[in-house]
Amino acid sequence: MKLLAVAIAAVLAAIVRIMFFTPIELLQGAAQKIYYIHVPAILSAYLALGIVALMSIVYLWLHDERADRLAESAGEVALLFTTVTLSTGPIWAKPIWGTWWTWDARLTLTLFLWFVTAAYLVLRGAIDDPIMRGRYSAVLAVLAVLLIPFIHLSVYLFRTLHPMPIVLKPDRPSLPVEMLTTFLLSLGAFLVFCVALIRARYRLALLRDATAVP
Amino acid sequence: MTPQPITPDTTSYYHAAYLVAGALYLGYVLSLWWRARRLRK
Amino acid sequence: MVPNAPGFLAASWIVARKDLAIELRTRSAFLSVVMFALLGLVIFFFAWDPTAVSSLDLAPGVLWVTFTFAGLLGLHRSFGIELEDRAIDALLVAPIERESIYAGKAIANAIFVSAVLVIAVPALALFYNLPLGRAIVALGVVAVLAAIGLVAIGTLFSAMAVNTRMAELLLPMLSLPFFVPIVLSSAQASTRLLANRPFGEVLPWLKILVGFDIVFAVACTVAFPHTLEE
Repeated sequence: MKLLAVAIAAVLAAIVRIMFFTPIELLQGAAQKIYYIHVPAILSAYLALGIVALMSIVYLWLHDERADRLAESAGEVALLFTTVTLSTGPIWAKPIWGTWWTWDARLTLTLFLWFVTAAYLVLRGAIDDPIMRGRYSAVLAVLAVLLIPFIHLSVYLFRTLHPMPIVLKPDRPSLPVEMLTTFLLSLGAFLVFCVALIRARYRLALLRDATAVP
Repeated sequence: MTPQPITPDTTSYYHAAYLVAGALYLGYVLSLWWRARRLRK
Repeated sequence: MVPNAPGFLAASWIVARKDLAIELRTRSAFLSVVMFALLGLVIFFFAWDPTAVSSLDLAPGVLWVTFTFAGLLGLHRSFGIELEDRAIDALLVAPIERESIYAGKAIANAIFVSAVLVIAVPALALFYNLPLGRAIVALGVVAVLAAIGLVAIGTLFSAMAVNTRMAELLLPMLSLPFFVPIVLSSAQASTRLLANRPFGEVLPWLKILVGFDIVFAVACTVAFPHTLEE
């Protein structure tokens, strides 16, 4: 609980810095500040998904229920962060690129991750037996890891061969020092927040397993 | 003289994004708290 | 090791024959899936504006989408039939490797799906005015590759979904993200083949399909024993 409080404080501090102590970017205006929560969200999601994948492999190998519980917790938190990414992304894209959505490789892959993570959680929710639940979701997670390169490859190929609507993308400018510092602080805060949420969710899972009727 | 770019006013998007993100995070933390409460009963 | 126990391939074929025998006896699932596929082709036809999209561009996409959903219907059955009286126990007790249960069911599903395609592809050519000979080669070859991937994934997920509460909903939800590279690559490859594009344009998509098939046929076979009880 203390870690979560610290994490929330860190996030709030980062937000204050973003809002009041970071300059507005010239070409994009205030909307550029969405970047400071959008990119940390997806990076935190990757962290959480990495934990799901790793713990799934560990569970299949060692059958330790703690690995399964951690995978479950990280999976839920990953869905949260991916949802934030897919919500803040289009809100940023509309004023900057002129469109809410494009099917470029990165967006498409992120959408995929959302669907697969949701499927992972729905699968878990549909199985009562903890051992079967652990095994099945671990198998799904490992297969999903194998799927990612294929999604990436086929979407990339699809895009390069298909005329796509031209979106005016600003070149990735090298961030001036103040903005970079803000970004890194925000990233750090959200990564801590991500870990804290996984931990909190893990404790919830422990509570559920302890009070479960055998 | 090269025309200076005028910074567009995209403040409403900026606020919307932060509100949406904040609502999602807050909603999740509350759901954790509420589920724990239900289990403890 | 049980003496005279069948090897992997022989055991798989025995399992496949069992499933196909069950299906041949009733044929109900096969006919339902064929009907579904044909209706799918027809419905898409009515949703189509021919002045906006040419038949050669539309038809492959229609086939692959319809094929995917029809395939899901058929796949659901694959382990569904084992539910009654826990028939799966008989398979588990038999002196065969667990993997051959998966392989056998996958083979049976592949034959099932291919039989549906034998009807659906000419129907597609008929409804959408495609040049029949070219269509069959273009779509047929790609269909074989697509079917392997579809069946590899679908058989495994069917084994998992059948043990859950919402099997009919869960199977599509699990499978469809995995089907996307198959559908995408198949549609791209067959559109180009139908339009007589140079083979160099088709090859990258076929490579993705083949790579996908190999990776997931192996991965799903290896993963299958993990979905069974000890």
